[in-house]
Amino acid sequence: MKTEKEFIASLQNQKTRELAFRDLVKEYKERLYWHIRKIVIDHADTDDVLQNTFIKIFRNIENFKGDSKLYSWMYRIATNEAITFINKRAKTQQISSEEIKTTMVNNLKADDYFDGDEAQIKLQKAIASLPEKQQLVFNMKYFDDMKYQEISDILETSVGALKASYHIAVKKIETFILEH
Amino acid sequence: MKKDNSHNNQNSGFKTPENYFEKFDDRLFARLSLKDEHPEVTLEQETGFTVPEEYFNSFEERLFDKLSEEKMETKVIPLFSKRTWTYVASIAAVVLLAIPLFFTNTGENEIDIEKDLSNIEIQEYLDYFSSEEFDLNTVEFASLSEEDIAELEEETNTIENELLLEYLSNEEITDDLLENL
Repeated sequence: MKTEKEFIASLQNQKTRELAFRDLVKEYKERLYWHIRKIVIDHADTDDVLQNTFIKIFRNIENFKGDSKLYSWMYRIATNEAITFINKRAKTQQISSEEIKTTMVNNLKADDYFDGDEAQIKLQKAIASLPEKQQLVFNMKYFDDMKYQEISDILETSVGALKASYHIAVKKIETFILEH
Repeated sequence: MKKDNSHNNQNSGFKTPENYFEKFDDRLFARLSLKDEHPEVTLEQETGFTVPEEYFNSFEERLFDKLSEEKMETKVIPLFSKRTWTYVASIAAVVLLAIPLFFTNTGENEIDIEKDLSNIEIQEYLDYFSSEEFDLNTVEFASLSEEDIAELEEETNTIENELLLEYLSNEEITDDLLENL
């Protein structure tokens, strides 16, 4: 079993890069997929963003300094790609990214690739009503059960601020569910 | 609702087809190398969203096809290009201006919630979200740095700023200002 350092070295070596990258994709495609899916909602969009994420990882792996963990670095790229995607679409349609997200969540019922119930749709609506950063923190903590330190490494925000953001997000979601 | 970590994504309404993840021939591999650092992430995680059959199995093939096409182009686009930031900055401005619309229109876009919706499940969400475990204790509040507090204040002030921007972007006001020049 390779250590992370050895694995990164094989990713950065031209000779071993492609093989190592295939392993990297196998290892992370599902986790990154679900992370992105919770942000962009639609499956086809998630697929686009996931592919772009891996392409950026491939292009930039040579420059990865190892200051953060590979996992955090990739999550950061995926998050950035997903948010950029939503923002671009919002710009094209000349509405806000919040409106895009709300519209998509409102269409979940008709989505072939969603089979959640009314309560789950309501929870998604509540999440969509949060500011972007709180959405991220909430998803990563509530659904993925990530440690604050991990989220902190990915979002480059202090643990204290994340705890506060999560606290606020939870209270807002509670209020949203009560009022709707 | 107390969370069971192995089924967190079930709470989101996202799901995968039955036995979907079990199909992966690389599952064993996934559990070997870098997995050790993130034992809490299970491949059995389920979210209410589903994916097309064989999606993950065919993912690499499509990705590598795309990568080969990209390799034909020698142009390398930096991860955080100026263009990206320009997009983000301009979109942020659009978002700031458009948010008030969102706040005033949400009611119209609601899907009609059926009366028999899962009240028990919703009550579970509420019980979970109102539990004390999310309250910041004194020590946690005390541990917030000035930067954290500034960030939170900024978040709270955003709505006020949005209202101001909405006011300023009001065409009538702009017309008045122009007329009085």
